[in-house]
Amino acid sequence: MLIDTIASCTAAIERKAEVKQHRQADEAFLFAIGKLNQVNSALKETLLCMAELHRRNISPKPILKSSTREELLRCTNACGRALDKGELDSAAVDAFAAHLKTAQAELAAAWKRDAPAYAGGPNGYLTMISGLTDDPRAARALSAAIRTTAGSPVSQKGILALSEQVEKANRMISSFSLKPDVESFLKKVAAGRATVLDLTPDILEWLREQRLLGKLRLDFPS
Amino acid sequence: MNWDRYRSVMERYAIKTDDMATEDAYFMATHMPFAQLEVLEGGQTTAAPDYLSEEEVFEKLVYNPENLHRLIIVRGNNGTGKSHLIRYLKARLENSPSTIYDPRTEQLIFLRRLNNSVRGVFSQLLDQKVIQDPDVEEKMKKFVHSSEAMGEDELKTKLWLAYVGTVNNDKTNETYRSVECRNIAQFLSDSRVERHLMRENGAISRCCRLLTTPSDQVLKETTVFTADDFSDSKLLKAVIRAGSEEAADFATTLKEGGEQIAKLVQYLNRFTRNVVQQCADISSESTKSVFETLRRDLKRQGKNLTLFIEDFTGFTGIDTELITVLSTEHGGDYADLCRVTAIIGITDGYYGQFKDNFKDRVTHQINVTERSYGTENFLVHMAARYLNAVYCDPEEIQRWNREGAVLDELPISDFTPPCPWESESIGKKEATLYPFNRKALMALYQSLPVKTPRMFLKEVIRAQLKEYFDGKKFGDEWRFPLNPGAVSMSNAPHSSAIDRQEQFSPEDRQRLKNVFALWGDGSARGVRDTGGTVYFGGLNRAFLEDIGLSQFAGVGRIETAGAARESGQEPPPAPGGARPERRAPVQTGTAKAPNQSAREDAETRKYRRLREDIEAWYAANEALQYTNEYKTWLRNFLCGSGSSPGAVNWQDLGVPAYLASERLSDIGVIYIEGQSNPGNPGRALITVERTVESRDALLALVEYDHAKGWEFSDAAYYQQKLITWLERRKAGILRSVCAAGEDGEMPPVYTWCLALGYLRARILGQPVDTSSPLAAVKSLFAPAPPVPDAAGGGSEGWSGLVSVVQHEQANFDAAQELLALASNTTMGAVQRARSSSVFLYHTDQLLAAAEHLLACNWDIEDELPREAENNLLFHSAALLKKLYPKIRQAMDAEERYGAELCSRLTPYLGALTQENLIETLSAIQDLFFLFLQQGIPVRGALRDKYEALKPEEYARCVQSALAQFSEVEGKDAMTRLTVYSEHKIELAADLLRDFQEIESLAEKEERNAQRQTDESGRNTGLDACAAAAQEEMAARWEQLSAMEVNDAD
Repeated sequence: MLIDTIASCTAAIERKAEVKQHRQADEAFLFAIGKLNQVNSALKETLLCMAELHRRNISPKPILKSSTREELLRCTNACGRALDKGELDSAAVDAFAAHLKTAQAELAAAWKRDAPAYAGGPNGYLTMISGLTDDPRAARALSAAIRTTAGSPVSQKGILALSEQVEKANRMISSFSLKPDVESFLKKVAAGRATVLDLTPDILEWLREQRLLGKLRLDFPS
Repeated sequence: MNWDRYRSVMERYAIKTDDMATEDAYFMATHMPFAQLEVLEGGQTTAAPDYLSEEEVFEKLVYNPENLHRLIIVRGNNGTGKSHLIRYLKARLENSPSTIYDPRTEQLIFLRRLNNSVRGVFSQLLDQKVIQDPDVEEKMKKFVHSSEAMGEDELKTKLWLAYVGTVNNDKTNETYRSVECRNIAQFLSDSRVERHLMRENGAISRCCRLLTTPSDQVLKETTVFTADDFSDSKLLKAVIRAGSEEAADFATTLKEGGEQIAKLVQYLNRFTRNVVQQCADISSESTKSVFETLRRDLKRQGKNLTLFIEDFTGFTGIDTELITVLSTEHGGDYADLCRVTAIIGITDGYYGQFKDNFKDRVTHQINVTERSYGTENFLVHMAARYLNAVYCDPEEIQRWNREGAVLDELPISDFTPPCPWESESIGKKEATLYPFNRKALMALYQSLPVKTPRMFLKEVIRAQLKEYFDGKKFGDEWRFPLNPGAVSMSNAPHSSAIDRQEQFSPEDRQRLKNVFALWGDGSARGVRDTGGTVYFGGLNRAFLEDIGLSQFAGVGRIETAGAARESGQEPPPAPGGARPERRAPVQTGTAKAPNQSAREDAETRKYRRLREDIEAWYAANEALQYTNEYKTWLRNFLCGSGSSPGAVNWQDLGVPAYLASERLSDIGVIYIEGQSNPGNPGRALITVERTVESRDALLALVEYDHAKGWEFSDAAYYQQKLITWLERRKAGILRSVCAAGEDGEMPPVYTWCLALGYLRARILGQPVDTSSPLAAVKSLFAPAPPVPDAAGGGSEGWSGLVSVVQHEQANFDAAQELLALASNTTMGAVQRARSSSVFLYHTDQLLAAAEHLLACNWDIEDELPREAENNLLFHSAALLKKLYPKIRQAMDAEERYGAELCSRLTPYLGALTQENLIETLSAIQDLFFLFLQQGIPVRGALRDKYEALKPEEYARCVQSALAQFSEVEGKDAMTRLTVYSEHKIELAADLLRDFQEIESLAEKEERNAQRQTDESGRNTGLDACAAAAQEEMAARWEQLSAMEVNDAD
């Protein structure tokens, strides 16, 4: 009879609607987990970078602020509980992500601030003496690489590379033998602090030997 | 009287249309001198002519004392007297004194037309010892002998082979290349082509006739082959399909059409001359040498040549050579040739095709035209000469000829007419024209289809005399006078009166009319002169008695001559026994005929033809030619036309005017006995018998049409005849028009038409108010409402019924129109039957019909005629006969359809109760609402229907329809038609269709939902993901906890 067919159809449609509703909830939970995983992964990287900067003495002080760590710990707890209950939603993950961004900002600021200072001295000296070294091209390349790495966004790989490049620069500098007064003069020049008074006869003689007299320039600093 | 002798003399001596067969004595006795012969110098026809008598022609052209070269052509149409003139000139020369014609110095050769063929010419040349060359003589003898001995088929085969051989050997490459010539020869050799060319009137047969058969027909060798011989597409296809390769090749070329065929025809005709010579075994040179040798011989003998050739047509094949030799002027380079005077007869047609260079060699032409013979005096004199020759003793004629044939001494017969009669002067004597008179001679001459002396002699003098002599000899079965031109009496009432004289046989009545029409004044008016002699139609009564019509006592009263003259009707009798006709005088010469024709306008010509047609139909049992005109006029006479009312007041006589108009609209319902076009007497409503009464009626219609009304002299007479004809047949015509049965009653057309209207309305589902007869009539006369949409629905049987109605719509409409117009009273003339805008229906008849139909529940199948005639009245009956069985079948089918619907609804509803129906309808509404919520689409119309539907109300309607349907189950077809025509069962059918669709939709959506549910099972990896994430979170917590922090802020 038609009425039976209609009843059967009605039941099937209603059942289908219910199943659909459950599925939508599962999909939302799964989506939140995915998003949480991303935040978690980013946080892990950020914390590792902070620790590495400090460990390699690029940043002299710990980078993560106490308040930031507290917020992150709170969010971690909240998300963990929500996960346990199967109630994790996007809002909780978004709040966690907001504090992650704070931490990431702190890391970026530290890198920007500390990396140039960490690489500046060796790199400046290397730049100055690069032409006097046995392999001036390698010296200039190293100098350029240091500048690039220090100007790049912070990452574990960047931190490691900067550290190794500075170490390599120091090795090159240390293998370059100069009279102490010449070395002192060059360092002053590299630091922009050399004056006419530093052009002693020995220094001038050394410059003449190295055919660097023509490259001397005088300037009145502003 | 010695009628046998007259007839014998006529046939043996006096009247032979071939002049050359006539004895010299009779030739001279009957010779009519030509007075106005057209003579032209040279061969061109455009020169200005002189008009000479035959004697002048003889003296100026034939008599040739100066020995001038002359090639004289005598031309004119067939039968104009060319041969007669040539024979006269020859006889005139022969009979001339030796100072003019001396046989010692002049060779006279006369080639006759007895055998108008090459064979005949050869025979004569041999007979007259013209052929001097022994070889040529031998060949000619051989040909004459062989062509006589040879059968026609054998000669035809010889000719055909000659053409094939000539074409095959043609290497000239002029018209066709040699290869093509061989193909043509193969084509001509094909057995199919051979049979086609040798068929009766095929090219080879024509060529054969040219050689052997005497004929008046001019046949040039250039017309032996014609396009017809090669344009038979079936023949060409057959040759292409089954002929040899070469023949097929050429047949394909001919298939291209006209130009190729014309080229072949021209090509083959070129060879005719050669073929003829080849068959005669005479070369062109030897033909030429025949006459050259003759001329040389004559020259040596000191003679000249005068050659008379009656008909040059017979010289086909050798004519060119003959002309060449004859046209060569003696003297100079040709001093060895004698002088020639050649007089050659040629028809105009032949001369027209004469090659121009031959025309240039002609020194004179003598043209025999109508001017030479066509006058009344000529013809009357000619008739008198022949009549005298017939009546004379042959001995006397021959003696006269022997004695020099002096005209003034011509013996005149002692034949005595039974009464004073017209005569004609011959020389100084009078010769009777009896049994002709001038009027008869001219009237008969005018009725000849070809007006020539030969035809006049043959078809008038000889034919009439033969009948006259036979009549006189045998005394019964008179046929004289003949009236080949069906000339009718100008006085139609008298003609009609003669037709009613029962004492005469039909033949004698016709003879009387012929006599009065041709001999008399066109009437049969009787006049007694002062001497007591009675004249009828101006003819002496004794003449009528002489020709076996003595019983004729006239038409009406015989007047006395004085009274007749006073009334201005009758002049005194003419000396010959015939009175001049009252109407226009008879034309007395063919020369005037063209003028007369010009004066006769088209209307008069038509009038004359129609009268002659009717007379010939009645009198000579000939077919009536202008049938459609008579029928149309008769129809118009009965029904009226234009502003003229008809002669029958149909409405008063109980026949609806519309019916009369329609039934007689097609003149095919009038059948005239002996009509020329085939008709069907079986379906005729009006039959016009071949009687005097009908003849008069038809003549009356002709007169009326000619005069455009009844304003003419014999109008009263004709009106009376026409009305008499009508009144005698009126009852029958009325019965035929309204198709009355034996009881005289018109068939129940109104009943049939009303029934048809009702059935159509019911079948198309249109309402009909059957509450009362008047309501039913009104309902069926009202404009039909639009056909409901459900009209075509229901069972296949019902659909078929609707198709029948739609297919027969024109017939239904015609029945409706017949009902409306036939039951209307037409006021005035029948021809206005359709134009009236005022309707006055015969309600009593309509109500009676409706009452009867209601009483028998509109089923009148048993009352219909067994055989419905195929006409307007019975069309509705025929349609009903066709419709009733179909209705019965359709009702049975509809009943089965309803039952099937109910049985098919049960699976959907269970028991067909109102509760079940309401429950199901409500469930459907709920389902559709669920569909709407879930976004499941439903066909718009279906959704809208169920959204708006009220289950209780709808269930009630369906329930009611089913109940009504089952109530009439098994009842008669008309009762079921009434119920079924409302198509309420379609509610159930709609419901079933909806249920089927909804069931299908529900099942489909259930399957979809099930499938989607199955596909949407819980995500089993979700818990593992959550656990892993939790572990990660724990690790972060520890990492964070272990991090050194900057507490500076």
